[in-house]
Amino acid sequence: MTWLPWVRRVGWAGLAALLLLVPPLVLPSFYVNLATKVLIFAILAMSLDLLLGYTGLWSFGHAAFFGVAAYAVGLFTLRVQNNFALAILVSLGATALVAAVFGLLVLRTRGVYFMMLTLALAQVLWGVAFKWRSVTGGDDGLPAIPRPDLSPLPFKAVTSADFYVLTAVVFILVTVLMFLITRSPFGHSLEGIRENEVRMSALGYNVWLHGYLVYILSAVFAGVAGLLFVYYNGIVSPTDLSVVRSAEALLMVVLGGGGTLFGPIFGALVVVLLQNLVGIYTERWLTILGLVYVLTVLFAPRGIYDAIRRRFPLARLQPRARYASSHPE
Amino acid sequence: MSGAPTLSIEALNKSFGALRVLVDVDLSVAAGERRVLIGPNGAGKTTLFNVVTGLLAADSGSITMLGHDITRLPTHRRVSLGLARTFQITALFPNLTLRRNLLLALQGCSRTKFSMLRPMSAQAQLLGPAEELLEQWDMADQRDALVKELSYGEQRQVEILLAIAQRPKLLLLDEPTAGLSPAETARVVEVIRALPRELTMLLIEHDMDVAFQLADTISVLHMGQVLVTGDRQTVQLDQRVREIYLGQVAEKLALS
Amino acid sequence: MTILTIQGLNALSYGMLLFLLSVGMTLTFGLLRIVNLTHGTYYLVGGYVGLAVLGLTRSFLAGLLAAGLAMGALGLCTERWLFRRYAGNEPAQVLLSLGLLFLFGDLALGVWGGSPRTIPAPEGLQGAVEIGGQFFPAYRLALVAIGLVVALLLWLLLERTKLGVMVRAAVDDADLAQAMRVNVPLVMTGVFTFGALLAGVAGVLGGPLIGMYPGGDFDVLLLATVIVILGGMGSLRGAFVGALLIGLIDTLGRSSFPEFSLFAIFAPMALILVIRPTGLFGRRT
Repeated sequence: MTWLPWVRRVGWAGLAALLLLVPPLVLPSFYVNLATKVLIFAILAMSLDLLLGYTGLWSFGHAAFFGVAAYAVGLFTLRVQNNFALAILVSLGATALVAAVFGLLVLRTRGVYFMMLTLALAQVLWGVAFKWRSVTGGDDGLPAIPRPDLSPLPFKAVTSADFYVLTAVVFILVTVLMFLITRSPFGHSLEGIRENEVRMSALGYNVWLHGYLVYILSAVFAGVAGLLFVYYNGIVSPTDLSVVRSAEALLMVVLGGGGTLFGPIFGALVVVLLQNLVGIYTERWLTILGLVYVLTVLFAPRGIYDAIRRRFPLARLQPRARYASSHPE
Repeated sequence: MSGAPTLSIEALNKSFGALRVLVDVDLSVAAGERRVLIGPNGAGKTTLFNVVTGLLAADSGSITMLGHDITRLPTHRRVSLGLARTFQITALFPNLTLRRNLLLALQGCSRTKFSMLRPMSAQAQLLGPAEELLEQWDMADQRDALVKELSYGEQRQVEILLAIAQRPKLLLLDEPTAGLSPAETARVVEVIRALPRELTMLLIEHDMDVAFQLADTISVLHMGQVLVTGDRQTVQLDQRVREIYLGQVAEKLALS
Repeated sequence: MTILTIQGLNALSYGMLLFLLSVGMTLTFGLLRIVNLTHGTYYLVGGYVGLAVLGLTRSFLAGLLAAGLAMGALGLCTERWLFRRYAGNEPAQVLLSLGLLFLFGDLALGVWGGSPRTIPAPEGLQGAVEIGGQFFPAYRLALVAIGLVVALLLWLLLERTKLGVMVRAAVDDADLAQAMRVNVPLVMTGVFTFGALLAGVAGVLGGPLIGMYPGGDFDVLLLATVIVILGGMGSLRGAFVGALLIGLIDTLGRSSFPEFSLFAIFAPMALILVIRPTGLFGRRT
């Protein structure tokens, strides 16, 4: 039965192709935009899951990295030039730098203190974005950011459909990378840390170092989401760094189910859909969000994805740890 | 068994506030020696382990292992020099499978643990030894069971298994047979006795039978101080030991 | 000189207000080991309730009472029916309280609208009092007095009464307290309810100064969190000192650097946490 894993792989590739091609061709632009948003936030949610679900570090300020990348792109594109490749370098570099500094501060704490410290640091950045009008535009933010210039590549990413394809490509790249990381020895170490830090130390792991590395890594992935978002939205403002944004990301991970890459993707889908569709009928989006939060904790504490997986084992979207069988692939 | 001691503890002190838990502890374990640490509850045995392994910092004194001064080193550095321990309260990775627990132990001191892009399933150099160890300990058919679903006895076995997987030079066992049935205890004793003779071991035990099956020398700890170190007879005849144990242990020592 | 003393009073009165707000949160954390994010709601909604009752009865005191009781009831309900189920599960409690914060905050927005509201100070305290040749707002002076009285009463309660001993025992070591026949669940509910009550009262007391506005729950929550972490979770003294400190920093910050006062609060907190991860007076849990 050695062809079974290959069938799975082809199946996955096919699904990926489907994701890429169908929406822009078939759906009206409102839905294409929605799909773009889902993918962007799925990346953000996955980045947080790496920290939260896999390593057990509850970051309440993840929007900080989303926002830093967004502002970096905004500033670079408006003040210097519109070049996608350079914008990526600048924004992800800035994000990594901020994460490297923050990481030194936060990784000495755990639990609630870690939550509060990450929140506080994100608030510091929010405060800076809010007050430093001359650079960040303050409350108004930086508007009129154009879609990215992809030259020297012969593609354009201006229309909704084209931008969607760009987002989908990035999404697939990010997902594959995350997949590899979580299946790697490093990924395993992260789960070990989540399960029992003291034991990990006693096995020879430098727990702090692993924490630091995953913190920066997850920040950079969040930055990828941020950079896509600012191009999508055309504007960056302090909201992108706000605690509400961090809370949304947190909800996506918790709702979908942490520690599984697909949970956060699912969570992002649910939250973005809720946000946009609920908004049509009522202004009380935050009430609904709060309610969903409470209901999730009460009834689906391990996430909706997990609840579904238990009910429908055949519909398992995620293969179990591959080497659980006696013939590792 | 000649040459420098594997573990050398000198004038070690540790206090929690006003409570002095370790008082000028001097202890030396030779290469390949099997030393058992006994003493009443609260004598400071586990604290000593915690200080030696780096979970707690000593207030003063020094700890030397295999020629390295490890007194101020973080735990993981001590481990990379050849130290391993088991915990009195089982410390495993509950939501991970037995196999994954073992893999984490096996890669603990290897560079592989930083590898991010190649899957674990491709790490033959870890998977092979993991499988071997599982076979050796008769736990191969439980490789995919979540550790939290194993019985207490099995978990205590895994506790030791993880430490051994690290291929240490100095092994600290904190009450390895605590809470085990006689059959399980016998099993554990068997496995520990089968360990390579060059492995230096320091053992905390309450069960005297087990202690004597496994150890050559005994150190008695009381109120944070090492009262006496010696073979079975020396300890049993020691006046202070007799006083402390009010004859209970001393009698047991005499009987066995 | 005049400006300094006026600012000093501002800082002091603001600090007292923050103290009243944070006490509940620090005691709740000491016991339940969670930072109850819904705490911000007690302040905001308490203020709105107080305003509504004031409008009906024309009595500031009635407003105070109503806010305290209403928020106490809210605290009681959420503790008994929601938080109690998740004892020991920090993330669940934080998520739960975050959800409630969003929920109540948005509902409040729906009910009371988006314009900032203030509560008029009680008639007797609307003027200024002359002390040593300078005029100080009577309300702020009253606030300082109230804060000191409450702090003193709480201190006496915790240190000198049997109830206080029980609470402190439950805070220090819940299992041991339970073994000593302290009804820990009752104490927990009681402390939680009291904290919410106090925060609601603070909401009304703060009405003439800060007022109520959308997002006020968040701002107040963040301030209380900073104070509680700074002072050490579970420490009454820490909450007092922390509140005064933050009151001082915030007031001075606003007057010196109108641009940067917001994150001036977080910078010291981040700094303290880095140096002393358990806060100024906290103990390692």
